[in-house]
Amino acid sequence: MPDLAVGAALPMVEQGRESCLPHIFAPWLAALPAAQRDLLALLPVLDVNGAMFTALNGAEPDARAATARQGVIAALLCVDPFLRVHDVVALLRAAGISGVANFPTVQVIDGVAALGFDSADLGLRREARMLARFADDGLAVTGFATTVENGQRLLDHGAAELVVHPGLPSTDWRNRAVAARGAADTLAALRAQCTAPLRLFCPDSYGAELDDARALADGLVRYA
Amino acid sequence: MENPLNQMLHKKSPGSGTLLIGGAIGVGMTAEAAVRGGADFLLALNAGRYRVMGAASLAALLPLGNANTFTDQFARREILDRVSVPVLFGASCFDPSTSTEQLVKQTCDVGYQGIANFPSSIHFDGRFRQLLEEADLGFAREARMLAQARRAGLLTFGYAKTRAEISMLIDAGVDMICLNFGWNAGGVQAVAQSFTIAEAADRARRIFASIRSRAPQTLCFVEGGPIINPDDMFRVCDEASADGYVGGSTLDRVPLEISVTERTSAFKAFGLLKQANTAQTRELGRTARIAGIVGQSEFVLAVLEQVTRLAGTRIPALICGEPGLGRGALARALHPLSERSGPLMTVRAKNLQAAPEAQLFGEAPRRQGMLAKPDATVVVENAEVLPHTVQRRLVDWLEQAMPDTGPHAGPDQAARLVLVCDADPGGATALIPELAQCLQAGRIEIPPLRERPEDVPALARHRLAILGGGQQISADGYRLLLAHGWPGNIPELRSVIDRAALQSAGKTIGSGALSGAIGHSPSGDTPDEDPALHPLNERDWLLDALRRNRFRRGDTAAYLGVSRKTLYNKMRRMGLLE
Repeated sequence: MPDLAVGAALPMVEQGRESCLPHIFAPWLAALPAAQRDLLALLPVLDVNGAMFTALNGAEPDARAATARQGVIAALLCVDPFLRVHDVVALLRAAGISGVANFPTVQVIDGVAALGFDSADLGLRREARMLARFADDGLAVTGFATTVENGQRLLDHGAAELVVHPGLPSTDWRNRAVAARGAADTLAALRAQCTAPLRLFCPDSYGAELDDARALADGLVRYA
Repeated sequence: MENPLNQMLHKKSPGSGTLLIGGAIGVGMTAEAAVRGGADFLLALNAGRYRVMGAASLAALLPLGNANTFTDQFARREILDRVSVPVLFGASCFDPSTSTEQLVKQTCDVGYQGIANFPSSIHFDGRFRQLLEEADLGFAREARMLAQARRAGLLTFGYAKTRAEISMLIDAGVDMICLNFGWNAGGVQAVAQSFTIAEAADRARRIFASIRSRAPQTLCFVEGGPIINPDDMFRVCDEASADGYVGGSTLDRVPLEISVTERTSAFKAFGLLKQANTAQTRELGRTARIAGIVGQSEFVLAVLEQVTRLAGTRIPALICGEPGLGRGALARALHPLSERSGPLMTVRAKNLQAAPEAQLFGEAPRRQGMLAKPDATVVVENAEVLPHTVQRRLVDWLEQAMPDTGPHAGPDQAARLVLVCDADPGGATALIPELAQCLQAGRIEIPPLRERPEDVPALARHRLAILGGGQQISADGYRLLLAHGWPGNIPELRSVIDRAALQSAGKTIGSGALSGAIGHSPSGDTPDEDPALHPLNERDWLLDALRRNRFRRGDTAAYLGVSRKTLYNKMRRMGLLE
């Protein structure tokens, strides 16, 4: 399976050639410093979905550009309580985008805070529900999951493929090693339970810790 | 201008039991309402905005926008310069592209009186929190910002959950520390809770004791978690000797959810009952117009219903109450409402030269008395001064005109007697018991204005409409009118409105003009200070609630959302039981 690149720009239409490379389109990344983007993408410092809508509204409307975007997946904050699926689908279709992903995902928030998000219906349940509605509207859904249970839930809600997220990268290599081990275990367990394609998300700060997990994945997802 | 913290400390006299109340809000309407209700300061927070947009407070932590830009936009447009209490900016330290120095400077430049660390890292824990701290986007940065803000002269309000966070706030020298118990329970968007009320009270008590041992000048607040009503707040604050409470969801989301649901349901039900009610409503409206009654309180509605019912009968009436409540007009209104064909006649009993007995009963054989006029309505004003002999004659006349066989069985053309009488606060009149007894069925009591302050705005608007000029009263002006006792009742209110309308050059009559006009009112009940600038303290708030509920403790407790026991304890503490 080809790897997926996460980038802030839509694929360019080059002279006479249309690029159909799979790609996760995350325009909000442009506003974030690379070293902290995984953390900041989950904090109230920017409007993740707003940046997506702005980018789509300004996208080239011509047919060739739309064709070029056939393999593009839009990265959306699916727990956004103000997200209206109908409007998003219309925008994505107009831009020729046919896939969505729950990225960034609140699954990386842990502890008591995670319970609070779940309790306020701003957690995984909402992510899964929104993805299911996108799937019902005919979009291809790529689900980011941090655990086997979460991955299974996303598959149950219409995800066609999964990306295992090892969690936000810590500056401490021991924490990264533990997280990488967890990602490998998750990939192995999911492999045993489902036939869906499984990719591994590799944030920049992770290095060789993720080697075992990489070996278990069908493909990788990296920042462009 | 005095430092806003000093102003607040001035209000809070130690040991008085007065609690400072902060409103954590996100929209102009709730800000103004909170201040009208007595909030001592406001916190402009993105969570407050998200709540009124229909999301949970917790959305404040999500990447839905830049928290600082978002908060500043609505606070500038809707809150700053529109309220008379300090406004603190909820500043997020999550954005590494804005330094804490820049944040503090912007907060000062815009004109906020203070700053709070919100949305805060205290709402995260576990690995995510650890990463925030590693990136220097966590609590240490927030404490640093608060310390800088304090040095810049801003009022500083620090949210914290743990002892370690509180210790950092004390080191930063913040003015107010708020112990947060997590996102609020209550309402349809309640969040699962980590604490019970008892646990929250115990935790606050221990933590506040330790704060006071290190920084006795710091004001200690509680917020969130299981505290969802004044009763809960009282329990936690009382046990922990807290200096105040900050309400967010409890001030806007929960009451809005309840009131909007209930009001909508009431309107819906009204629609269903419309046909049945239309005739009755029309009739009450006609009564109000003819009698010149203005108001929207349950008392006014009850009086209108009573007068309307009474008008259709021949039952004699007794209208009681303090002077200045429109009793005479109401008594005279019974005549056109009854559609009687005879004359309307008035006897002023206080006028000694009028010889009321002769007027009422005539001077045989030369002149017929008013009561002998067929189908007349005879109104006797100040009936309490009628000599007892006259009162006894009235009893005899009533027994003759309205025999025991029933009110409709007497002579068809008999006059109707309507007495207007002063009554003491207990409802007792100076009438002889036999006469009072005869008039009991048709007795209408008009409560003084102080017992139905909800009618004050309608009366004030009515007066302004009569004056013309299209003037309106500001929100803090209404607050001042509601806080006044109106010992002179409606004439005093009219005089105040007239004077304030003359003094106000523009279309809006503010609290300044009204305060001045009240100071000149004949009652001489001059407030010591402008309550719009000094919102009600807890004692006034309690008194106001008792007054609104006619000092019925059960009703007052229900109105305030506290138990009778809590109300009793508060009344005892405030010396209101004597």
